[in-house]
Amino acid sequence: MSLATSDRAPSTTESDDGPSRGIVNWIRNHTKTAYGVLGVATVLILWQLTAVTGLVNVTIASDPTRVIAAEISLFSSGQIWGPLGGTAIEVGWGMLITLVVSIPLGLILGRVRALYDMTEPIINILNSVPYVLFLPVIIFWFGIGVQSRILLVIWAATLPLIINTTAGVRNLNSDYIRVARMCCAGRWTFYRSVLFPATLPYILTGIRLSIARALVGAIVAEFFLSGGGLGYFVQTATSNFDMNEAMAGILIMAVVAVVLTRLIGRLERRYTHWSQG
Amino acid sequence: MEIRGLEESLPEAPLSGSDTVYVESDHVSIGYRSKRTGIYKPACSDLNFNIKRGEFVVIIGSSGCGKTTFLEAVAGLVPVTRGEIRIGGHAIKGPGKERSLVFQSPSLFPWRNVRDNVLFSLQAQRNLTPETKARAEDLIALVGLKDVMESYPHELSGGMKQRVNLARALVTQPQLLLLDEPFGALDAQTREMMQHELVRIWQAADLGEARNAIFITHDVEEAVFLADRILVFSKSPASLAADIRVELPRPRLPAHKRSPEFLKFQDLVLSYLYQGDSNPRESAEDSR
Ligand SMILES: Nc1ncnc2c1ncn2[C@@H]1O[C@H](COP(=O)(O)OP(=O)(O)O)[C@@H](O)[C@H]1O
Ligand SMILES: [Mg+2]
Repeated sequence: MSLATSDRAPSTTESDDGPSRGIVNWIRNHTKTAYGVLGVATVLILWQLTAVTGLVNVTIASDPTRVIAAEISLFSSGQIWGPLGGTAIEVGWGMLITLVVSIPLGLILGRVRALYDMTEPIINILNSVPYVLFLPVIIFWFGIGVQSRILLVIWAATLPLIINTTAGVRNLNSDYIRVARMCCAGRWTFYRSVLFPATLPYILTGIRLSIARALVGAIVAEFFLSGGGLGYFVQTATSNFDMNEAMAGILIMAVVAVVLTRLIGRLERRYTHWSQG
Repeated sequence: MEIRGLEESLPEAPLSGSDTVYVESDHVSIGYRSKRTGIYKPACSDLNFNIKRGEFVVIIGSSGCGKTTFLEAVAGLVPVTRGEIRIGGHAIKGPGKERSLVFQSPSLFPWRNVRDNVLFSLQAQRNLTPETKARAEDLIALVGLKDVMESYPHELSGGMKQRVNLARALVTQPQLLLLDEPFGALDAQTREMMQHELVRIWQAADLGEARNAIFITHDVEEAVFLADRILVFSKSPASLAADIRVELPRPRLPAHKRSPEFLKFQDLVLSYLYQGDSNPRESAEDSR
């Protein structure tokens, strides 16, 4: 089976009139992005200005140049790799387990009526309780090690993915089921080659939500469990009054979140282009 | 017209195929029980006829009379309430590899390109070999889609989608091809072209010696053009109103649709189709 592989990269119009003409063209083709960049730049400049003019105390609020400096020192000394790796391990394992468990579970719950009816109220209730509330219980059961942090990530990430996958299955076009039955497709072929690809747009939306919640889950767990990771790093830096480092940690987190979101966007464009119109 | 039990009409020689009975519809009644009210509503009542090996049978009836229901029962997708449908002497228990259904709506998988949609039925039947893959490509070429093999359904016109649908059904080399108003949603011109194509493919495709088809339509001209035999279904619940053998020579060409013999069959079918009406249509030209 082959899924779509048509990549529709936005066309960057290269002109031979020199670089300035190229930038003008790029802005013309990417007005939305250009305004976004402008917005970020404005905030950074205002921030820097308030710091330079002494409007706010730099030791409390830091400023962009100091954050950049802190960033450079964190990476050149290698000091950041520990915390970054810690969070990466939690989110990585947490998401991996979430994906492996939630997608098949969501597919099955969507298909088996009795199971769906049995689990739907529970899942809705659990999903409406803020997941952070379960952290003390998780600590009580599993201790303060990395396994508790991974568990919170899973707990945070799994429900949106199950709910989205199940919703996708329940919206399945009944024609697809009839085609599969008529072609004498076995259960495995049906799940793998019909149900999964048909539900993929919903699954990817679920993954997008899951990742956002997994990141929050990891950070919160680090705040409470003090075992390392970016959350712990930012917390420690703040308590040491090192706002430059704290801000640098937040910036790294922001970059990680943006990169992951972008990755999902790419997957969506690549594998679900057929559902967009 | 009385309902003819085909068991008695064996002496009549079919235009094609042999005298072996292939599909038996043995006093078949099918209905649906409403989920809301629990009331049973019949869709087909006491359908009793046989189809011989090699016959191209067209079922015609007004919309909502129960044609799809019957065809899906033959396909094995809908259970029979009373009676039995047998294929090659065996009662139907569900879908089978010897049968293919061309759905009324193309119902292609939008995430698969044309080739992979056609290959799906082979994949589902665990029959993907270099040989069957080559056959799929030949078939795609035969239905005139060689150039859009890599295209996705949303990039195709309605007629092209139905060709893919047809190729997907044919690629498993079914003994019995079931078609549910496959050209119903197409414009008149495309429809005419597709009918011609179907006849051509029916004659050209490497389907083995035995090829039965049951084709559903509500279009009289289409019925006469395609059929060896036309079964006219009454208004809901469907019962057999007429069983007409279309003795027109093959190969049939679109131009034949204007011939007097063709029009004669068309009027005959129409007269049975409107039989149940309070104000039956006159078949004045019938005598000419
Ligand atoms: N899944 C179903 N559940 C209940 N009633 C149905 C269902 N499918 C069809 N029917 C009813 O059976 C009758 C025959 O429908 P159908 O076989 O689709 O007719 P046709 O194909 O001749 O237009 C209709 O009255 C329709 O309402
Ligand atoms: Mg129908």
